Amino acid sequence: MTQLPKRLPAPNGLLIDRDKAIDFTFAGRSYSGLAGDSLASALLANGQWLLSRSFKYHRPRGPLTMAGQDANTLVQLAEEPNVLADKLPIRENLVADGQNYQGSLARDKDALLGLAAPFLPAGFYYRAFYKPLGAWDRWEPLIRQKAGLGTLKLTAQEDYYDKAYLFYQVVIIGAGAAGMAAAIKAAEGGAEVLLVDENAIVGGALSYHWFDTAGQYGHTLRESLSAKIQQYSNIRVLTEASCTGWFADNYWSIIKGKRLYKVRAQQCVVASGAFEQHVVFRNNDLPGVVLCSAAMRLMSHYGISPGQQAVVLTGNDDGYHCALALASNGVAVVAVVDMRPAADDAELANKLTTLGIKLHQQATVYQAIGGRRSQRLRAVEIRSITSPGHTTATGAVTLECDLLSMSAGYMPAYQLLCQAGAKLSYDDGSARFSLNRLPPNLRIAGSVNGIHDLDAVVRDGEAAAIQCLNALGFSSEVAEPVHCQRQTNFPWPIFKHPKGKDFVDFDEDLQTKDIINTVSLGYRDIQLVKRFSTVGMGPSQGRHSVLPAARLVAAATGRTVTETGVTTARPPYVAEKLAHLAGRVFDPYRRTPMHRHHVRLNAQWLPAGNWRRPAFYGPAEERAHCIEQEAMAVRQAVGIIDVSTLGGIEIRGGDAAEFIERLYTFRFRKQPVGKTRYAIMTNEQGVVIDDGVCCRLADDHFYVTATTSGVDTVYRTITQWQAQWRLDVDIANVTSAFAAFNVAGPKARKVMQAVCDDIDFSAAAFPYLAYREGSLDDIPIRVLRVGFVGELGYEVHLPTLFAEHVWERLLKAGEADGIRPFGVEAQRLLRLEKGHIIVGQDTDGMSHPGELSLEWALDRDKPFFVGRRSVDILLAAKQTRKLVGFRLPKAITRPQEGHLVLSADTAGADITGHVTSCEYSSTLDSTIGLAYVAVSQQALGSLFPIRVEGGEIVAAEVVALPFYDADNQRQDL
Amino acid sequence: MSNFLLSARPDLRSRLLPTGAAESADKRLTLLDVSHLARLGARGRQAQGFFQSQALPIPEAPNLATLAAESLHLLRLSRNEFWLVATAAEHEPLLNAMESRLQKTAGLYRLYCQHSHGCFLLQGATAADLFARLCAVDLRPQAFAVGAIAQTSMARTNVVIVRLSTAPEKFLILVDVGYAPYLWSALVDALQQD
Repeated sequence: MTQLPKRLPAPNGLLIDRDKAIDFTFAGRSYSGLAGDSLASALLANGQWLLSRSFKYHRPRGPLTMAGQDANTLVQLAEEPNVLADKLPIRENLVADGQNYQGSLARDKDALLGLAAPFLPAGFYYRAFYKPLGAWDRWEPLIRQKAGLGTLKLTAQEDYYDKAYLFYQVVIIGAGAAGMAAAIKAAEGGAEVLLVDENAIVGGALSYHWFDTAGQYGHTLRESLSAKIQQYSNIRVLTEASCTGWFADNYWSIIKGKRLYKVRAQQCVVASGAFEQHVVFRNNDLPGVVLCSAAMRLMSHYGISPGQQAVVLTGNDDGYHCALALASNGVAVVAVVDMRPAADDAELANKLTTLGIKLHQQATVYQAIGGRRSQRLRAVEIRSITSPGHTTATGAVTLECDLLSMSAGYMPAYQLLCQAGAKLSYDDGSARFSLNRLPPNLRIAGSVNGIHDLDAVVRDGEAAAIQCLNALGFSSEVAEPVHCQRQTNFPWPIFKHPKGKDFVDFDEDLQTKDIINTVSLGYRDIQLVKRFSTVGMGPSQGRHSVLPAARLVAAATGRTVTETGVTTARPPYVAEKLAHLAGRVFDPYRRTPMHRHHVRLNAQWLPAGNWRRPAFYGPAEERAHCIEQEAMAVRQAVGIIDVSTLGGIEIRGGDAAEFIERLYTFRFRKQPVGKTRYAIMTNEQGVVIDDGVCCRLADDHFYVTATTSGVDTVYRTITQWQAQWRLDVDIANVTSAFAAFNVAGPKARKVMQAVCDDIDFSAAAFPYLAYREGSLDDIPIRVLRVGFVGELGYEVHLPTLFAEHVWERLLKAGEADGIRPFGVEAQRLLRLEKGHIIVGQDTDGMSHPGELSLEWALDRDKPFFVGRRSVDILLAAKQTRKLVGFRLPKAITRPQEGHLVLSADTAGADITGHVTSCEYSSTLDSTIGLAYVAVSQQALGSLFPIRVEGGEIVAAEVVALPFYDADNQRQDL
Repeated sequence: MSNFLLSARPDLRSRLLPTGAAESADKRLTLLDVSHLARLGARGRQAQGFFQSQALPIPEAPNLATLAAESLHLLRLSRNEFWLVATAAEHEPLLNAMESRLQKTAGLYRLYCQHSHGCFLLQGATAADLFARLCAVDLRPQAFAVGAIAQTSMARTNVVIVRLSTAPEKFLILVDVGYAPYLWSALVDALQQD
């Protein structure tokens, strides 16, 4: 362990555990910090102020805010780039590095780019690299290498992220004085309160800022409010939680650690505080130049003395408090430089004088001077202010110092509120901001509301809570309006230097001249200035650059800041990872009750919507052999396939037959009980959208199957129709309630007879297309005599929870006859041999019954079915294509599904159709398939060309369907 | 159809999951699969009358449930749709007999919830926190009282959630049986998280 640096005594160091040292590495060097330290604080405690290199000019950068509000602290971790060092808690053996440098962080060779700054003005990308055509492609790799942030490790294993929903009556964003006071008041009134803060402890500015000359008031108030909050069980405090966005109806996204909370609030109080603003002068980005609040945080939160000799530059009385805090912690305060003619509180000035701190009023830091080797602040040059933005040319005073704390004022943390539709206004006379046009049930309190006096801040928080309680009906107390006239903003804290490096935007290395030049190029609107110059587009999203940019644009265009406006704030307010948005991956899958059996049988899987179905059983590398064996078992003995994914819909009621009659194209009104019928469904455009088997269980009871992928659409469609028709029917989607197996093959009857003795399975008693009910071990079963695969077959439908038992019984019963489970691939081959189409595979969004040769399944005598008029029109129109069966010798390259059918086998031939199904049939010893062809190509025995893999053209012969058992003797067995 | 009893042979109903119970790391939350136990559903104009005739306490409005007996809950999922859900095996004979009577009652349609849905019991003080990680509906006691039903989406799957009690926090979760293994894994995963 390296030696621990000295810390300031308590009560400083609110966040650190002085007894727990932690070792870590930064930029190849080992350091020690304390538990509770951020990486930045631990480095600063060790005197390491250089944390990063700037985006464009590779200038050395140290922390500016110590609050995660600036891009100066972005560092690289092994697994993750662009981590804010002032928000990253150190942990044992943490390894971090700077980023965006060449050589070493301390000696970055790319810093020479700063010399080229005059040739790299704002927007130079747009003007330099857009021509000649293709120039950008050459420049882009170089620019990306030189100007960028961290390095993404593509092989990094992402951690577990998730999401959670929260519901509160009152949500308070910001646990500073206003937020805490609001939370206590709302909880007193009986509301369920969520108090959210991005910091590790509650208190906001109370945890570091001095509100009196002794620095006690804020500290005492924080402890008092914090203790009260702990007393209320109806307050939940979420610290280290960043609110990233506001969405309609007060829906908040909040990130804490690896969890994204989605919070629904009935009432909201935003007490998000304000961002301290920097002063624009030359070299205002040197390590050692920080905001006053950063210096105060370092002392109070981490017990770190931020420097040995300090200068404070301020435009408000808070800078005086900062100087007093520094002095009381042993820092030699060389001077306080006040841009105003005098302090508002004369007592503060007297106090400084008492302490021997020199006061320069109506003066500013004209430039900061860095050490040649240390790259840290060495001195500042002070000049008197003659007029806004201008200083005396002579009489400069240079003060040696290693710390410059600055405060030009505050800008409300308006981003979340503007997301919610609020309007930010600025009074050019008083340099004060205000937010209005807030959405319903959202209130603001504290410094975001322009209230800066601490007692008024507390009252403002309470007033907001009272309004919430009133809206909730918990109280009728009258909320007294709170006002504050305290001046905190210096109106023009911008001192342009002829040599530049007077940074407006630290993220993008934008200087005052960049903003002014942007306006001079014609971009007068602040939104255009943003897009051209990129001001406010960096990681800190304009928290410190928006105001000076607006002031510069206003001055350059002769408008007020209010007229100029600020750029739009959009979510996310702070960076959020895609992992947060993705959260835990919910990828629902659906399993048939036979899943475990399929796994045991070494099924290879085929996705079917959310289902996974066995494609075939056996080793993946023996696919063709397995499929062939399974098909052969069905043709020669008996096979069994799990068809539980098949859709099932029950139609019951007095109008059931009428309902079916309207939905499906065939005739069903007179369908006898105990019979099944093939049913196709067309949509209003006459396109075939599904097919199935319709079983009549009773006069008023139908059970209709639907395709696996189509059942949800079918169910939705028919319930929509029922909403119009209002027939006397009950519609139930029973897909999951019933498992189903198809037992098929010449020995299927024998198997069924062995397990079910209350159904007569003889051909005469149970013919093809009949429906019967019976039982198997007292389990109720429905049996459909079907022929999808072209063999004697029984589809057994049964209540799902019995599926495993029945499957095992069927396998056992067929064992002697070589029963074999078969998968979807074998089923597809077998049905293809039989010439049966699969809706969705052999049909598309244009397929009408005529193209599919399904005219026989239409009852054109009945007055209506859905799509009837369109079907009539389509069939009457000139036909353009036809689905036909084709055959090829097995030696010829086998077409794949989707391969194109051409009008001729010559170059430039038209596309007339495509292959929808194609397999090698061992039964027929040839390649067979279905394809759409031009009507002129449908003649039996004719050849049509198919363009297969590699552009080869093969000639397929149109053959009659079915390919197998044309007389249907096998399925009628 | 008269002998087509869904409540037949409870001994042959499969368990959906390899393990039928899980608990959180701190053992404050337990999840139990009761999918194999008896359920009965009916819908139609006579549904309310039927269940009233079985001396069951009828929920006043849709999306409410009543405790019919210890471990027996009557759910009203719409004006005319009722599910009777047992969470203990002792109710098997009762539901079996009731299904036979239901079969013979005109004006209602039997539903297949015995086999169409999986059924889980979630119990423990932090149940609402677990739901908060999976479901966008507020299921805390103050918003979701005893007997309340939410027909909603959880972990991107349609579910019916019923609050059975507040002390202890106890919920019934019904899900399409095909999705039951998925939802179980999602719940167990959420159980393991803080």
